[in-house]
Amino acid sequence: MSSSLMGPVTRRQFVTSSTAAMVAAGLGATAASAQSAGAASGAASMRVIIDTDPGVDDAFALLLAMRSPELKIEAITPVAGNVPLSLTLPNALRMVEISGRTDIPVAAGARTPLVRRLVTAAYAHGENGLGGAEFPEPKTKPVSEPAAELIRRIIRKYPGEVTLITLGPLTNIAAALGTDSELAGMVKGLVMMGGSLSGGNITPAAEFNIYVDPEAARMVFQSGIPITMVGLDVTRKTALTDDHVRTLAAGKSPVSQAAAKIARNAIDHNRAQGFLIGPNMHDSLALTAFLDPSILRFDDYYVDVEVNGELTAGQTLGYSPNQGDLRRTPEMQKKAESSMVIRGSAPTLAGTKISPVLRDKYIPNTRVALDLDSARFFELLIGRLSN
Amino acid sequence: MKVIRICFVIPLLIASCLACWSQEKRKVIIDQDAAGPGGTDQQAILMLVQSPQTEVLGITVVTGDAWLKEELAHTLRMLELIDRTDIPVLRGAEYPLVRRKAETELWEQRYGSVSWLGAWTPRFYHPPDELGKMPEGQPTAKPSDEDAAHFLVRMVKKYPHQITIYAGGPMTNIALAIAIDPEFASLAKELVFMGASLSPQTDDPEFLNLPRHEFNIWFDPEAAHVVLTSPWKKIVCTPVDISVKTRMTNELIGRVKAANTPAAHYIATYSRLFGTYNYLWDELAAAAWLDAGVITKKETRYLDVDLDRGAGYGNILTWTEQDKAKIETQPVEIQVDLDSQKFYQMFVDLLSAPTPKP
Repeated sequence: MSSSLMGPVTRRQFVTSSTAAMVAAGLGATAASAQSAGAASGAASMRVIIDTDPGVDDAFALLLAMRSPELKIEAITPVAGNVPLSLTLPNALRMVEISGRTDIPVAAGARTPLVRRLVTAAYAHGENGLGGAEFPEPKTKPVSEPAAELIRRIIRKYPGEVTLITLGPLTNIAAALGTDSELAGMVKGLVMMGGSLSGGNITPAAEFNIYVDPEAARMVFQSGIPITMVGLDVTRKTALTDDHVRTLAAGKSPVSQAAAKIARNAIDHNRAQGFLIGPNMHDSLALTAFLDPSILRFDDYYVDVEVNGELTAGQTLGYSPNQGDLRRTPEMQKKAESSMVIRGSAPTLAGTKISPVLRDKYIPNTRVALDLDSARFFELLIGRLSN
Repeated sequence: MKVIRICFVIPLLIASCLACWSQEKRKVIIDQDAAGPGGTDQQAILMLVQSPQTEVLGITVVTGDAWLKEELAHTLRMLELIDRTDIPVLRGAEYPLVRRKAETELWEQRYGSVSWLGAWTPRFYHPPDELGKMPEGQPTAKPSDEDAAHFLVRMVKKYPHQITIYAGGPMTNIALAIAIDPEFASLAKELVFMGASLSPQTDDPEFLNLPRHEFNIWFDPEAAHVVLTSPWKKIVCTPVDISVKTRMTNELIGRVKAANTPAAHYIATYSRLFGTYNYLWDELAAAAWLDAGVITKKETRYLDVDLDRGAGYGNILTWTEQDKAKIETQPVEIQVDLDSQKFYQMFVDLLSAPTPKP
């Protein structure tokens, strides 16, 4: 094996290694240390770009992110999704103003999915995207650079350092990856709220974020970026309650007050719509999977997206090499992984010599969240927001 | 006395014509799957660069007939050989939006083999990072730092409604530009593309049984769908139907060879015939844009692409004004017939000429 291959292989092993190794190798350790020391010192050590479509739970996740001192938020890039871009963009700017973080660049993203027409979820997020909670028009303006361009520029500026946190349809990310074939190899990781291995919400098969732009989602899953998927499998276990609202309402800060207001409206809106399940904190949980992965349990899957199904468009399919019928002996599995380039559609930083075969061998490309400690999650979420 | 005056006036007229010509140069970005050396992709680029009418703002390269990286190298080297490295060459998409090789191979097992798979054609296949054979030598010039899609967006904003997008390959870069900025199409002057196949009259087996299958559309169907349903001011299509009425011949190469210019040397050294059918695919799209008189018959159709993953995946769909689908399709000017002699003469003249200075 040539030395140029060692880079990708090492990285793939990193991705497909156990959660314990993952924690030891990077994310968890960084998060843990940041939580203990970082909160006090304010050392922002984890560079992230937050791609989002606020959105009730997106708004929560944005507030949580800006209350998380370990994060160095390089940009927020709104995209059309839960509601059109004409609402997600000002909603993101509102959250930035409420948090007193107008230093963070907010860049307008895609107005429509890559190939399809936009489907929104006003039924779940209210006509204004915040469950009907009213906030003043933002004074802050978005930066002039389009989202995909800003994403690309930041990743290239800090190769190997930036984690993408995606809370909406993956249009902006796919556009950035498509325009720059080397970019995927420079991304540290991608933590997404999206997908499901156990049934959908917008349709019986599909989770909303993937359903809106399945082609973009497929580009991302095949990019070779190490992906953490926080889907409905876990997020549906995170219902917001009246108790949470009371705790937030008791908090003094503008962030806590804003969160209480959005939460109140979201719960009321949800009840008015006749839903049995409370508003799920999908996006905050995805962010939490990055902040403190020990709150969730993960397993490795090969994940791909159905882009053509009549009933199944936007469904995420997961194949577990530990359980499926295509599983190999450990030696053969190792051989398969080592002969594989991790970049589905892009060469690595080092440059690779073989063509991508990611899909041929059903090698894991995603850590899928399968379970969580709900109490610890809400402790972190409500704790940080109301503090 | 009169004679002297005329002698004096004519050069003046020519000079002033040249001056106004240079003022009104037609801005074009060439989006190309620039396989090389020689061949239809490079020859079309050359014709557009060689024309004194044009200002080529950049060449955005995309995987199609060959892989992105080798196409970049062939294009840069060609520009070196004609001393026009002032023209920016931009890295575009290395893969189609959704289509992948492995998936395409499964599709072929089910629905039959495809004769031209571009960079994925088995008899030429090599990995994307290898350059393949480069008989013309490796370029020292480099592509721009900017990527193709952002360049496209930046240029149409800089020169709104002035730029022709000439597309000679799969439409991935253009679809990405539209994804980045939905106003891209309406800010361009027009889209001129080689692609699509309606009902070509030919015995060429590539089209005899699959008249609606054409490589540029087929290789990235989703991108073509995005591009053809975007709000362009004007779309002009050079389909297979008219391509098959052209032939690249050794006689044509011979006529270019007679000239002693860098472009003619390039054609003489690297342009070759392959197999039975040698069409001037992309050259005709370029020539028809340079001189409308090349086209003697055209018609209007509405175009979209079949995105269902069955046997017809990637086929072109067409409608007339009367029966068009109630979707966002655009009227497309389809070229039907040409003045062959005029076209071949343009081909020879442009490729024989000295290369214009920037």
